[in-house]
Amino acid sequence: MIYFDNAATTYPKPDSVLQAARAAPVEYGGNPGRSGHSMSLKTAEAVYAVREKAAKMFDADPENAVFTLNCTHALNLAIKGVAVRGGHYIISSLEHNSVARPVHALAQRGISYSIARVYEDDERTMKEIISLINPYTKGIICTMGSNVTGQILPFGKIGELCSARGLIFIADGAQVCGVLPISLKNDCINILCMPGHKGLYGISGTGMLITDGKYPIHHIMEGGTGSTSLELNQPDFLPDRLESGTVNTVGIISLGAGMDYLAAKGIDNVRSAEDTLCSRFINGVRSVDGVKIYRQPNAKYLPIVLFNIESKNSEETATELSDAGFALRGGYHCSGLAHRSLGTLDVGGVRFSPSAFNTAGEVDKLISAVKRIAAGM
Amino acid sequence: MTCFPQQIKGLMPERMIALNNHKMISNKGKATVVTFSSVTFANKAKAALERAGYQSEVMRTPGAIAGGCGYSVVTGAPLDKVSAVMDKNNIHYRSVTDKSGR
Repeated sequence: MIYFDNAATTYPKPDSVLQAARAAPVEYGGNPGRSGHSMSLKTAEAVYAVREKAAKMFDADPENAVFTLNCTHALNLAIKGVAVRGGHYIISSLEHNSVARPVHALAQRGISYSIARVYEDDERTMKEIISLINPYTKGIICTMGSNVTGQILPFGKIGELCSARGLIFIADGAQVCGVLPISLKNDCINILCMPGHKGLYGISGTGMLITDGKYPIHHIMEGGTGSTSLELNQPDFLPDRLESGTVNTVGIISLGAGMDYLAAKGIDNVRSAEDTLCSRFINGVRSVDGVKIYRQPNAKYLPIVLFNIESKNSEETATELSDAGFALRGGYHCSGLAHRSLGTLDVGGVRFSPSAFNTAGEVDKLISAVKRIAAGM
Repeated sequence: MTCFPQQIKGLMPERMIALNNHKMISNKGKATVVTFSSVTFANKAKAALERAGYQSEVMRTPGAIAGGCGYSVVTGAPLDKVSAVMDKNNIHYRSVTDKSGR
């Protein structure tokens, strides 16, 4: 199978990540932060080393890099940990359900929210966001790049706006971390949430919440942290406050190997190669009768392309491509808001998302398959 | 048995034997012990001290300190240098004590 579903999770993983994941249960088999024997201490040191890598990559302090199960877990911790006392929040029209659902759930319990439409033109998007700010607005919670279309939001400008207005900025970095250079400081992000298993090339079961420490995050889960055990109150310091229970050591160590891989290759080089594959795909199918590509000429995009074969439902197209040996995701991509915004509620879309491991030859084969399916062959 | 100047608050005297027996104290005679609430800060301190050129090790803080459970860093760095490294790197610690071994 030729895999083009990297926006869901990257596959394959680099050899170094697989080696790290295989070795971790043997070399780092202790429970970090729980005991004083050498295995526990060694494991704790290895886990800390990954915090340091994350801190360096995203310009934060290591203790403010909290490990989670995935990006959705990180976003729930952030959103529910911050919006505890009500207020109004702004989200975008391209949100994944990992933002939309927790915000909507909190709206049943006292907060309010507005949805800012994302336009092709960043200035227009910013005007829309600003128009939604009211005296009760406490923050903006939004994706940095759509998992459906790949459109990059003006997150730098959003961060500046929040900083200037005293609003918190919680950023969903699911599709941009490991793809674009991100700095909490330079991009004025207060809380950045990300998966470990997409652009950072770790194995599944990993994610991170990285905070600049400006806004306290109330814990939504309590338990053993290996610290202040005699106290019934959850620790008030990070990362312990938000990391109850045993962390996914194998996943974390694999995530560290993934970040090393990216550092060695260069994030810009990886993205450039993926962008080239996207351009090749678009150029190959844009003139095919019945193929529609969802890209606007003046918007900026991640290496993701949404398309449809207009005579078919997206799930049908994705199934036929799967039968032909190509892995792409059809449907709604856990983002009803985005498909509503695109006008694709009736058909969904097929998402092409290459990785560093895909080749031009593989893209050419996909183009041929799309042509055959579009021609009804 | 090595004598410690001021006991770490809440640490029972007999538990200090574990620190006494740590090789950095028994071999080198002088060492500084920094205690932390969490292993993350202990490892942050270890990394910072090593960058500053001081051999350091993380160990479980023996006995019950206030709140229960914690980690210490034993280092060859003198107390004033340790305090400076902690402050420079914004590392929160519970206590820092100079230990003299014999």
